[in-house]
Formats: sequence, structure tokens, C-alpha cells
Amino acid sequence: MAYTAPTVYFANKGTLTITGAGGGTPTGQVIAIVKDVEINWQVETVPLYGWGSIKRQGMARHSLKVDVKVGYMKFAPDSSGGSPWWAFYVISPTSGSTTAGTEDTNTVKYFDIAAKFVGENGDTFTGTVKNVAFNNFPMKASEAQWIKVDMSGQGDDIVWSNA
Amino acid sequence: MTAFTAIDGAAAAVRALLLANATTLGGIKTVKDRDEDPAIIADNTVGLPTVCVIPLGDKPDKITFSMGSSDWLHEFNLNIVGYYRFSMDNKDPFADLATVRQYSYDTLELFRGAVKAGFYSGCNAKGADIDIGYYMIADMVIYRYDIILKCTMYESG
Repeated sequence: MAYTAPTVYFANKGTLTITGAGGGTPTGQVIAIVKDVEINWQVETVPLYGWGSIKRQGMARHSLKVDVKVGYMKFAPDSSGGSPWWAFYVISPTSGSTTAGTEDTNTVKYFDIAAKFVGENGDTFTGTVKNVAFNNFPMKASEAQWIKVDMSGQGDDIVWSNA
Repeated sequence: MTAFTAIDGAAAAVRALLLANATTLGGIKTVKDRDEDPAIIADNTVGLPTVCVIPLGDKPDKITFSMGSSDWLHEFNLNIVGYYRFSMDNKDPFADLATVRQYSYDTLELFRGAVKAGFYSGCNAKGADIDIGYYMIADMVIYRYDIILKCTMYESG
């Protein structure tokens, strides 16, 4: 959709949906009681300098990555593989079942993570981080606090859209 | 569930817990739902001991709305305030003070342990303050304990 007019966006008016990359499992699990989302598209750059001038002569970029951090508190930790919690696919990439431990495979599970926000004028914008892989599965419970799951992953691209 | 019914339900659960243990907590005769420290504790002195459960008794409910969900986080206190009268001649008020102190701690024991601390769905007690004291009404000594039960609740909207 074409650019309309600037508006402001409040974080709580957002939804975070996670799906198996390419439309696989898990199918569209909405992450609830989200505490924070952080998306950081980044590349590394190489400047070119040479004799005869102190000024930069050129710049090239490489090594695109999109870091994603998600903190949330509501989850259904089905470990059976029937309707697995999406995060369990990090441990067992093909089945999502963790009852027999970690799947002994080199396969990496990829996720698409879509963060959709609604502006005060009704416009929406969505950033979908593609092919996110998670290296770890942290679980921390603090005394007298609700359990919050903080996960950090890395995608290979991001698609922005607005409506 | 609305926020009101959630907080009200938590207070009702505490009242039910007290009533179920009324005998061991000094023969409590009534457990009341109050919104502040009551000016009139009981209809008459034989109405004691009585305990008032006061939601949000000493500070406001702090509510945090959620991102991506209709659930609300409540951080609030439930005050459990007990009023007792012991020896009619007031000969040994200090011994009576120890007794009411014991009742206050016995009341708090009702919330010991992970399961009991979660005394109401979505609501958990995460700590408490206890204050003990006494005051005079006419020629009677009224003993009072105030348990400030610190609660956290995720209420599903």
C-alpha cells in the first residue's frame, strides 16, 4: 500500500505471530503477553581507503542478518508432539516433541516471525523476519515473579509491509 | 472475567480460607468484606473475634495491560485484619498480645507453600508484612493484627 500520512504506533496494539518457515509447522501461533520485541536488521560494511586521500573512497556491504529478540509470558508447553509449543521445535526441529529429549539431527528449524502493529489512524505495518533460527532455549524462573521466556534468534531477511 | 470479579474472587477465596480455619485461628466469629479499616468492628463486644479482608487496603492496585493479549497484570495487596478481645479484666495484656501474634502467624501459614500461595486461579501470594498492636475502646483492650498479603494476578480478560 502506498504511503499515506505519518501516525503513531503504540506497542500494545500489536500482534506477534510465529509460523514454520515456508508455511510449515507450527502453523501461526500467536504469542501472547508479549513483554518486548526487538528486530535489528544489520549488515557489516567494508570501507575502502587508499593512497592520495584521507577520505573514504567507497563502501561495500555484506553479511546480512536480522536479529530478533522476543520476551513473552503466555505459552502452552505441549511437549507430546500433538500440538507442540512452537519453541519446542528449537529442540526437536522435525516433530516438536521433547518427551524423548533432543532430536539427534543437524537440521535447523526455521521460523517466520511477523510483528504487526496498528497505528492510531488505523494503518498497519508488519515486519516479517524470515527463516529465523534459534541457537538456544533459555528458561528462567525468578522468585516471586511470573515466568518470562526470552528468546533470541537470527533471521536471513525481513519483509516490511503496510496497509 | 472482569478485573473486578477477579479481585473480588481473590478476596472471597481468602474469606473462605479463614472461615474454614476459624476455630484454630482463635474462634473467629465473623469474617467480613471491607474496603477500609472499619470504624465499627462488630455489633457488640461478643461479636469478637472478627477478621476483615480488605482488598487494596493500604495501596492501589497497579495494573499493567498486555501486549498481544487481553490479559491484565494486577499487583495488589489484600489486608487481613483481625480484631480480638481476651481477658475481660485486662490483667495480662502482654500475654494476650503474644496470643494474637500467634494467630496472625497461624493465619499466614494458610498461604505457605507453592500450592497454597496460589490460593485463587491466576492469583498468587508472593509475600507478606505482619503488624501487631492494640488499642483501647472505653475500658476494653482490642488486639489487632494486620497481615498485608502481597499478591500478583494475571487476569484473563
